[in-house]
Amino acid sequence: MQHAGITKVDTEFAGPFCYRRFEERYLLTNDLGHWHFVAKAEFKAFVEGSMDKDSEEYGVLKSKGFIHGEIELEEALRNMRKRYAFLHDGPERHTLGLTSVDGTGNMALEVGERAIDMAFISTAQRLEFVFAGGRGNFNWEVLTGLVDFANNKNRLARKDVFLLIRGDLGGLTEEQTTWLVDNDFKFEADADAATLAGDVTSLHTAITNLNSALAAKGSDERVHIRISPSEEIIALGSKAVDAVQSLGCKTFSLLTSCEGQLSPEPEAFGAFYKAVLTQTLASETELVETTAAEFLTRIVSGCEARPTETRSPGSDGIGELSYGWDGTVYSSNEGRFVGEDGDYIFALGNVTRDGYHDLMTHPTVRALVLASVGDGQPGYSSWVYKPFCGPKPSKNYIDQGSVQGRAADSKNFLNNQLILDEIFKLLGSASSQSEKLETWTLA
Amino acid sequence: MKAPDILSATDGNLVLSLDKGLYPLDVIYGAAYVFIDRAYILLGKVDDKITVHLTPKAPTSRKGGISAEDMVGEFGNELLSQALRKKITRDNQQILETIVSQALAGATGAMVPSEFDDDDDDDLDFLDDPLGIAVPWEERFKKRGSAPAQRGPDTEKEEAGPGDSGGHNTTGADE
Amino acid sequence: MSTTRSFDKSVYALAAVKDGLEAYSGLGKLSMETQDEAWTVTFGEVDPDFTPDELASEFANYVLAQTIERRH
Repeated sequence: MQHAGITKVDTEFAGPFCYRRFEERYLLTNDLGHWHFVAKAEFKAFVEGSMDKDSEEYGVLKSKGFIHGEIELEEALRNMRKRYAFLHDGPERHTLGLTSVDGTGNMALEVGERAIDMAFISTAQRLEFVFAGGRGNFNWEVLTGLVDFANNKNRLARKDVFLLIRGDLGGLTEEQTTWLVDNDFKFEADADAATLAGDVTSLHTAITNLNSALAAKGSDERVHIRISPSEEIIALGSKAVDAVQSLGCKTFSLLTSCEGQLSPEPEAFGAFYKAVLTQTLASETELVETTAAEFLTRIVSGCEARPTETRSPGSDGIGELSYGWDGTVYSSNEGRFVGEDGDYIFALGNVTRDGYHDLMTHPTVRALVLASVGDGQPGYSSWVYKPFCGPKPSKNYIDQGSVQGRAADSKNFLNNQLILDEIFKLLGSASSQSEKLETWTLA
Repeated sequence: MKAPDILSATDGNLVLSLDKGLYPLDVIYGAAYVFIDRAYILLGKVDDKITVHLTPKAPTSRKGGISAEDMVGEFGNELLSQALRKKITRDNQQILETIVSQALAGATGAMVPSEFDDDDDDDLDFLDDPLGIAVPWEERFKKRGSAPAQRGPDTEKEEAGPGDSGGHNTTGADE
Repeated sequence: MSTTRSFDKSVYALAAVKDGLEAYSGLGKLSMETQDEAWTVTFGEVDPDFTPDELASEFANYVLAQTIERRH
């Protein structure tokens, strides 16, 4: 505020807000999820209470709930209900570790069936089953058995069920590919550096074949690429986007860390993300980066589309569950990685002996929910991006040793801030890129 | 907030001194708990100060080693974070309780049986369930008695923040 | 040769120290003395897999964790 020359705060004029300086402009946000850029002089007038009430700027701020005592209560309530509607649903995403992370241990069919049983007890109407294989091993017979089981189960449950396979798709045979496409699977491929560098790897071939099969079927879906920011991949810069395009994919996500591992340094990550985002927006083909899209869904549409890494309260336990190959139930897929590394902090129970209610009332779930609410964490509670991004307890634990973490020196916090800075710089620029970004919503 | 005083730093063993007025015991506990997997910690008391003996542990495969010097800095940061979290939790208790309650209630709510019209012309053969697939696991394998269900591998309890009611002030940050 | 650790009564919980004595009883000869302001645990005849200092340090962490968990 010193930069704007502000000498006093008129709390009878300015409603609660958070701000961030972007050179000579200030971004304002509030808990209703509204945001607005103001110039320096207007920021000063707003905070000091000297803004002309007949001015256009005053009108905009008033309509967005920034003026004290001028909030349209009914509309604000509708907004809040929409923003938090996801809290009425239980776990929607259920990741089944068909094998251990290292691809050696295989999930038994019975264990998988118990996991699916548990998933159907969730209060969520929409269920997403993510079948995850380690190191290219998808435990095929069990996978097909579980799909049959889930489909039979759903004949009675009548939920909106989506099936997704995730991992190194390079090992899939043609027969397996055909079966998956015929059974309406979605595909998520963990891309390695060689594939993203443009090498014709087995994964490259698998993705190309899958996209061809999906197109032949008349589906709009294509393989979704997951890019983990390893050192090798960061070094590729925007070439990674070229590779995604050349594979015929329409969506990809640039993760803020490799699952179960330390977050990358913000300086390196920030430059990489900016290059990727710029290249993606410049692309003439339909291409969406979904980490940004998750944020934009909140920013533009004011709601959550699906369990994400950055929602608040987080999805740990209440939005997603992950089932280890041995039946251990974890609060998140990242928690499963941590658990299979020998640390069971995110383990809630086991499908062979615990019921759904036991898991949902587990003290770990409560602790994780509390740790993922931005209003309870230093750094997040006064953060300009609090309405759009929350803490991720599993990443805090990996990076800093506690599920609450410390935002100020959290790489995950800083990396998300870098992404949001880039997004808002573009949104506030009234450019073609801004217009394109506003179409990147998932709801 | 004043950084912890370093009373001694020899052979990788650190002894810090914390003013109880600045760092309440709850805050020290919170910070110490976070470091238990990375350091050996012994708390003591000298007059009105709490002493913290810190010895970094050897690095493991997942958690890298940390030097004693870095540990002092991180421990100091964690103390500050714990103290501030205590205040924020107190100030925002009502909001936090509302959100957490709704989140847990939404996840634990009973399934509402779907209504269907008896006159519906849809094929009702899905009601035939010869393999009992629609029977939930809990019914099929009834739990024994009223003892708490056995958990999976031991999980650490995470402390919930303490709190009283309060308001929240506007604040912000420069880029 | 034995190693000791002192647990200040205003910081640690007696129940936590006693818990520790029970949990670690199989790893050495542990004894506790009560003084005015602290409980002092002595570690003798430690299991050969550990040094006395290692055992004492792990014990201290255990007692600290138990003390903290008892408060919640």
